[in-house]
Amino acid sequence: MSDPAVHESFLVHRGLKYFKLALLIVVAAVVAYIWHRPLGAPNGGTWLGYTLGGLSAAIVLWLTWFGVRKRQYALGATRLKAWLSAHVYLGLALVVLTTLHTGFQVGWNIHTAAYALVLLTVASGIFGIYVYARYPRLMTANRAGLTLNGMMTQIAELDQEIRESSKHLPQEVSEALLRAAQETCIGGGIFRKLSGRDPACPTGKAQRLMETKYAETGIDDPNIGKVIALLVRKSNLLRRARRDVQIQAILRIWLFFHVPLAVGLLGTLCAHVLAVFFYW
Amino acid sequence: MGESAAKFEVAIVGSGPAGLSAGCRAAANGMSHIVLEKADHASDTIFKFQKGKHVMATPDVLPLRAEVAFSMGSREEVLETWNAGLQQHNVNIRYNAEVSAVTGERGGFDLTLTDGTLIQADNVVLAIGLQGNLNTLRIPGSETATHLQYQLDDPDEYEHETIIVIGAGDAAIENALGLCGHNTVYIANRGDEFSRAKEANESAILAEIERGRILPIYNSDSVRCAPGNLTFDTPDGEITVDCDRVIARLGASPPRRFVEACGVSFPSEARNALPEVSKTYESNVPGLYIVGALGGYPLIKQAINQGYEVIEYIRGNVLDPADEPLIRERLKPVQGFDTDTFLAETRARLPIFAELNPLMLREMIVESAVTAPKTGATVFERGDYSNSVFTIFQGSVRIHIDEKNPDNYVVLEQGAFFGEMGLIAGRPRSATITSNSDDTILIETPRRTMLKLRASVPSLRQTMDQEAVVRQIQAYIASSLDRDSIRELAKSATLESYKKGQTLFEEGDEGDAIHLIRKGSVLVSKRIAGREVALAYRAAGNYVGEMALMSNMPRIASIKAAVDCETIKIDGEAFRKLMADHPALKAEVQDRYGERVVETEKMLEKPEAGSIIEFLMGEGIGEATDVLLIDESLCVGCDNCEKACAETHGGVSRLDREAGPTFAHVHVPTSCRHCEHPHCMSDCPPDAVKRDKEGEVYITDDCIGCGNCQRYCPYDVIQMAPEPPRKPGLLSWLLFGAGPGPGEDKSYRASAPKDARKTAVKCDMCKDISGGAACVRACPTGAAVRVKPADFMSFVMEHRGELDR
Ligand SMILES: Cc1cc2nc3c(=O)[nH]c(=O)nc-3n(C[C@H](O)[C@H](O)[C@H](O)COP(=O)(O)OP(=O)(O)OC[C@H]3O[C@@H](n4cnc5c(N)ncnc54)[C@H](O)[C@@H]3O)c2cc1C
Ligand code: HEM
Ligand code: SF4
Ligand code: SF4
Repeated sequence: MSDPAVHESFLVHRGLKYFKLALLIVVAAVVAYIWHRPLGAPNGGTWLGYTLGGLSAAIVLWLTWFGVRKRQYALGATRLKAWLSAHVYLGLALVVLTTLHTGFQVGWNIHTAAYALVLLTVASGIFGIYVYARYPRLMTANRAGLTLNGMMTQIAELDQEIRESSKHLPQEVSEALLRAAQETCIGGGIFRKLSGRDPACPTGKAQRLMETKYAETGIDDPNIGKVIALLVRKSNLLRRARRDVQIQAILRIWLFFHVPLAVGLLGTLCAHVLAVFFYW
Repeated sequence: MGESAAKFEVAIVGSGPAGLSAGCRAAANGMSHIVLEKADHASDTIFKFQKGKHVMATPDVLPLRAEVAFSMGSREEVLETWNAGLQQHNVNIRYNAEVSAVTGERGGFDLTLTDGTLIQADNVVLAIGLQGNLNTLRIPGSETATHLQYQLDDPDEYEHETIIVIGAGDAAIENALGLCGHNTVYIANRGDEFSRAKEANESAILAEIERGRILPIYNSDSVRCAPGNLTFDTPDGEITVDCDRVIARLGASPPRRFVEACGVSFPSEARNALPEVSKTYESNVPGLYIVGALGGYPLIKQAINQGYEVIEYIRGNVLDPADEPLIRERLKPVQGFDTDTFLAETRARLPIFAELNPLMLREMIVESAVTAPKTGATVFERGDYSNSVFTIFQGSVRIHIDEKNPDNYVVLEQGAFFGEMGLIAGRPRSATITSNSDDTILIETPRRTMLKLRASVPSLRQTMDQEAVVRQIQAYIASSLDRDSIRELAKSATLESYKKGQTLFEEGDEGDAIHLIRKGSVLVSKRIAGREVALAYRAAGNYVGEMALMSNMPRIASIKAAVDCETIKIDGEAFRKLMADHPALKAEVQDRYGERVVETEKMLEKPEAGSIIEFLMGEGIGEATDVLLIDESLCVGCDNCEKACAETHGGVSRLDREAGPTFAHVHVPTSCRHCEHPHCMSDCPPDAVKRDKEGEVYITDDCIGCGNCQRYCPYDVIQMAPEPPRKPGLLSWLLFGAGPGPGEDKSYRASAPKDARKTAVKCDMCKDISGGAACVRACPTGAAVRVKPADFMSFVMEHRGELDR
C-alpha cells in the first residue's frame, strides 16, 4: 500500500514505534535507578524520585486526556490509532516508572493508594487489549453475515410462522408456544448479557415440552414436526443473538472499570501530590 | 362539442409551471387560449410531491419573469399561489383533458383528447414535462376495475388485505415490501428474477419470498381482470387469484414517443437526448413550441420563465432572454466580447460546438465557466478527478506529458478541446495543463452539460470520440508512437460496450484483438480445477488481450465486465504490424506482458485472494475510486467512525457501519464508493451532485431534495435527512452529561416535523476537513481503512491470510 501504516492494528502501529519509545523510557529509568545512590533509602523524595514522579504524573494526565481526544473528531491529522498505540505502551511503562518512584516503599496511605490505582487501571487496560484482540473475530464468526437486528427480524418471523402452524395443537402446548413468542427476551440485565444464555428461556422450555410430549405419543400431525423444526431454528438463532449481545457487552464492560479507575486515579493523584507538598 | 367550433390562438398542453405560466401570460395579453391538463388539478408533478415538501426556487441568480409568483416554500404554499394566479387571470383551463395526438402546423393544429374531443389552435405549446404516463394494464376488465391502481402513496394505509403487486422493478418491490407486514401480498413478475432492481431491493424481496411472507407468481402475464380477482397466464396454464387490490407498477413511458408522433424530431436515440428547438422554443414543426422540463430545463423557475417567453415569441415579440444577465456574468473574465459575438464566435471557432442550436449554445455558456488564464497558469493538474471538458476559444495551452520535466510539453491550439478523458473514463486527469499565451480564453463545460450535449448533438459526439480514441491509444498503449501511426491504427479500432457481467472474451478463444478499457473495469479469471478463479481486476486506462497476441496462443484467461464497460477494440493484425515497425512499442508491450505473467503466477498460488477480489467486485468496488472497508478482525464495534462522521457533518452520519456484507473479515459498510461514473449524478435537476479534485462526490447546498440521487445510487448510501437540532458541546456532556452525547442522535428523525426541509446527504470524503476522512482517523484500532483502486490488489494480497484463520 502507498502508506504502509494504513492497514495494521494499533498494537503494531508504525513498526511498534511507541512500544520502542516506552521501552526506551523504562530502560533509562531502570538504569538511572540502579546507578543512582541516594542518601538513605530510595523514595519519591530524591531528585530521581521527583523526576520519575513528575514523568509518571504527566503520563497519567495525558492518558486520561485520551478520553477527550477520542471525541475531538475534527481535530488533527493524527489518527486515533496512533494515540491508542501510544496510550497502551506508555500506560504499560507506568508500571515500572511508578514502582521505581515508590522506591518499593508501600504502606496504608494516600501515596500507596495512588500507586495501587495505577496498577489496577493498567490491569484493566491489559484486560481490554485481550478483549480487543480476541473477540472481534469471534463476533464475525458468530454473526456469519447477519447483524443482531437481522437475527431479531428472523426470530420475529419464525414466531409468526410458529403461531400459524400451531393453531390446532393442544392448549398446554399452544400456551407454551405463546409464552415463547411473547416472553422470550435477549439480553436484559448486565449479568444476563454477559452470561450469553437464559436458563429460563420460554422458547427452550416450549421446545423441551414439545420434544418430551411427542416423544411419548409420537407425531401424527405434520404440523408438529414443522413446529419442532421451527423451534430448533429459533433456538439456534437465539443462541447466536445472545452470544452477539454477550460479545458486545464484553467488548464494552471493561471500559466501565477502566474509565472510573482512571478518574479515581486522577483524583488520588491530586491528593497524593498535595499531600507531598503539604508535608514538605 | 362547444370548443370544437372555436379556434384558439394558442393551445397549451400541460399545466405544470411552464404551462400555467404560459396560460397566465396569454390570458393577461388577452389572447384566446386554452390550457389542457390531463389531471383533475393543475401542475400534477408538483401536486404529487410528498406532502409538505419544501420546494426550492433555484437558481437564485436567475430573475423570475412571469405573471405568477414563485418563491421558495412548501408544496402547499406554492400550489396555492399558482391556483390563485390561474383564477386571478381568468385562465381558460380544462382539467381531465389528456391530449393524445397533435397534428398540423401553424395556423391549423388539431389536438385530439383521449375522450375524442377535437380542439383547434393556431399554435401549440407542449409543456408536458418529463414524468410521462404511468403504464397501465390493458386487459379485459381493467377499464372498469375498481380494485386496480397504479400508484401507492402510503403502504401503511392498508391492512389485512390480499394484494397483488405487478412488476419487477424497484417501485413494485418497495411496494410489496412495504405492504407485506400487514397484508397478504403476491408479487407477479413476467420473468423469474428481479435483476432489474437495485441489489438491496433484490435481496430483500428474495429473502421475503424465501420466508414465505411474499408469494411470487413467476413467468406470469395478466390476462383478465374481474371484480375481486385477477387472472394470469403462466407456463402451468391459467390461474385466477382472488384479491382485494391490484397494484400495477409497470413503470412510466417517457413522453418522447408522444412528442415524436407530433412530428418533432430528436437528434439521437440516447435516453437523455433533447428535442431540437430554435431560439424561440419552436420545434421543427412550425407553430409547435416546446418549453419546460421536456425541452431540457429541469427546474421550476426556468419552466416558468419559458412559459412567459414562449407566449411573447408567439405574439411576435423579441425578448432579451432571461438568462442574459447570467451570460454577462460568465463573460466577465474576458474583455471585448458582447454576448452575441461571443456566441457566434464560439460556434465558428470551436468545431465541437458548431452544430449546437442557439438555445443549447446559450445554455452551455450559462452552465460553463469562461476563464482567461495567463501564460503558465495551471488549468488542471495531473491526478485531479475533475471531470469538466475544456475548449480553447482563443490562444493555446500546454499539455505537460512528462511529469518530471515541465518544459517537455505539446501545445494545443485554438479550436481544440481537452479534458474529455475524465468525462469518458471517469479517471483522474492524465496530464497537467497550463496556459500557453496571455490571451488564452477557455470555456470549461461541466460534466452534466457535456453529457447532455453528447446525447443531443451527434456531430459533437463523433468529433469528440474520434479524437479521444487517438489520444487514449497514445496515452495508455503507445506513448512512444507518433500521431500519424496512431491515427492509422485508430482506423482499425471500434468502440465496444459491455454490460456488467458480460464477457469480452473467453479462455481458449482464438486471440484476435486487444481491448483498451476506456470506461469501467474488468475482471480477469481462469478455470482451475473446474472452478473459475479471479486473477485480477483491470481498471479503465489498461488494456487486456495482449497476452494471446504476443504468444500467438489461444486466450489464456477470460475477461468479464465488472461494471458497465466501454472498450476500444484494436484489430490484432494491425497491432502486430505496428509492433513490427516500431520496436519501442513492442518493447513496451512486452514489458507489460512480462509483469502480468509474473502477477498471474503469483495469484495462481493464492486462489483465496481471487475470492476476495470477486467479493469486492460484486460490491461495486470495480467502479469505486475510494471506498471504506472495515477489517472485522480488528473492529470492536465502538462506532467511533460513525460518531466522527456525524460530528463532522452536521449531526448526520453518512455511513452505516454495521450494514453491508462481509467476506473473509473484509466488511463493506454502507458508505459511498465515489464511483468513477457516479450514478447519483444522472438526473439532478439543479446539478447539485459534484465531484471534487480527489474524486470526492458531494452534494452542494443547491440540493432541492427531489430524491433522484437517492434512487439512482445502487448502493443505497444517500439519505434524505432533515437538519438535526443543535447539541450541547462535548465538555458539557463529558462533565455534566448534557445532551445525547457525540454521534448522530437517532431519535431526531422520527420527531422532526413532517414539512421539515429534507436534503440529500452523503459522504463527501471529508473534503473540507483538514487531516482526511474522519471515520478512518477516529477508528482507535485501525480496522477502518479507505482504499483506492490502485491499492485494491495489495490490500487483497495482504488480507487473504484471513481466509485461513
Ligand atoms: C420529487 C421532485 C422534486 C422536485 N423539486 C424541485 C424543487 O424543489 N425546485 C425546482 O425548481 N424543481 C424541482 N423539481 C423539478 C420540477 O418538478 C420540474 O422542473 C418542473 O415540474 C417542470 O415543469 P414543467 O411545467 O416543464 O412540467 P411538469 O411540472 O411535469 O408539468 C407537466 C404537466 O403536464 C401534464 N400532462 C402531461 N402529459 C399530458 C397530456 N398528454 N395532456 C395533458 N396534460 C399532460 C401533467 O399532468 C403535468 O401537470 C423536482 C422534481 C421532482 C420529481
Ligand atoms: C494509568 C493509566 C491509564 C489511564 C489513566 C487510562 C485512561 C484511559 C481513558 C480515560 C480512556 C478513555 C476511555 C473512553 O473515554 O472511552 C482509556 C481508553 C483505553 N485505554 Fe487506558 N488508561 C490507562 C492505561 C491503559 C493501559 C496500560 C492500557 C493497555 C494495556 C490501556 C488501554 C486502553 C484502551 C484499549 C482504551 C480504549 C480505547 C477505545 O476503545 O477507544 N489503558 N484509557
Ligand atoms: S452516492 Fe452511490 S452512485 Fe453516487 S458515487 Fe456514491 S456510491 Fe456511487
Ligand atoms: S442532490 Fe439529489 S436530492 Fe438533491 S437535488 Fe440533486 S438529485 Fe435531488
